[in-house]
Amino acid sequence: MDAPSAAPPTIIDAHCHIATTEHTPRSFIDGAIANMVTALVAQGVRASPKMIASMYLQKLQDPLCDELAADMAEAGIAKSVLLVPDFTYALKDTPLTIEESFLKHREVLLRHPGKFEVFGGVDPRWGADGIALFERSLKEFGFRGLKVYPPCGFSPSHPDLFPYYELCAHYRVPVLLHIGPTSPALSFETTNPFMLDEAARRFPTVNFILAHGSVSFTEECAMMCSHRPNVYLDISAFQSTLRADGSGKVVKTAVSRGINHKVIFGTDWPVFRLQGNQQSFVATVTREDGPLADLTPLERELVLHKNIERLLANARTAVPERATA
Amino acid sequence: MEADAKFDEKVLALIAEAIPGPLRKTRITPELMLRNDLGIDSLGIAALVFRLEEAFGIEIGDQALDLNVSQMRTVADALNASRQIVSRARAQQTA
Repeated sequence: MDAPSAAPPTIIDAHCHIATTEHTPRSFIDGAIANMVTALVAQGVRASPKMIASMYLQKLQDPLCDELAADMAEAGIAKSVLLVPDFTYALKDTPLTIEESFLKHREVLLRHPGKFEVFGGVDPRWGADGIALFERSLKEFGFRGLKVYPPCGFSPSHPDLFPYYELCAHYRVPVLLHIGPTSPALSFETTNPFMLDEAARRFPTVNFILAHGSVSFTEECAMMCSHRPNVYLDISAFQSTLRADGSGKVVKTAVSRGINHKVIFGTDWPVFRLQGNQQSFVATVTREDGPLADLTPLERELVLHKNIERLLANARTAVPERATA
Repeated sequence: MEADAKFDEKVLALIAEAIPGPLRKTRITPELMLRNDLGIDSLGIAALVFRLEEAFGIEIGDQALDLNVSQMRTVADALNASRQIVSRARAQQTA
């Protein structure tokens, strides 16, 4: 008699974006393409930026997350967190205003009930209007967190963000912030995780997630997670290492530091769609001999879904209204 | 037939160049999946397409913009696509 096969793990992807150029300006994308072209040219390949752009843009045609929902189903991902970085202040070719972007994300929440959460981001330089929009997103749209994007030109501990963190404390929602490099269209100056330290200290009831902590400033991220009770990291962008090392070694390192109560699964979809799909990324992380192999069953659950569930559990935000026919 | 065999040999050599380190010793057969079995992602496929230009003395030009690399899943897909790309490029060159 065959042994019963183990149930597939519950997985939440805590780091995704809507795959469309509506929310992400072309200047941001062109910067990422320039890096790809540089790498190919160095290998002696006469790469055309136009062709690479065409390939990349083919993967950004999913404004309502129907493709993402299908990829999630195929990969066994129960829920994904959609992040809305606000590029509108820093990059003037962003097609939508941040309010329009928020409304589009609300549309996705209603279209796919129970499949997504949204963390809305507002550049703090938008002043009182931005604060009002963010609070509206929590009270009316059912968003469940704040997305902060320091490469747009501000520290995560800038005082202009404190009203946002106060709202996060009041509504009990987490903050997910980008750390480390990004598109060359933006600055990397304010992306060191230690720049979060003052905010994490001032707002001890707010939980902060350092995005890409498995690949960027890994030591600093691990230190912050070890020593600040309210700081976490997500492993998204581990895929950037798969061309050189298909084993996902960086994930193994992240979960070998005694901080597995702070490590959160994420894929940064659609950024790495040229490197694979959700199913392949989940397989890389969860395979039997993969980076989570040495973890206890509880630790695996923490990383794959329980840590992010815990951060979202006590949110005092609206429930997205169901769409009516 | 001999011309076909030589064409395939050239393309398989280009595919072999695109395989990342740990999988380099894999014996390449037509049914193998480019990504799952050989570790070649879409950028690796794009590099392969560009290398066709040098290998076959052609200019792919705007044909490359119509390429949907996600449809190239297996080695056989890559061979077929390469055949189409090279013959279209040659036809444009003689036109």
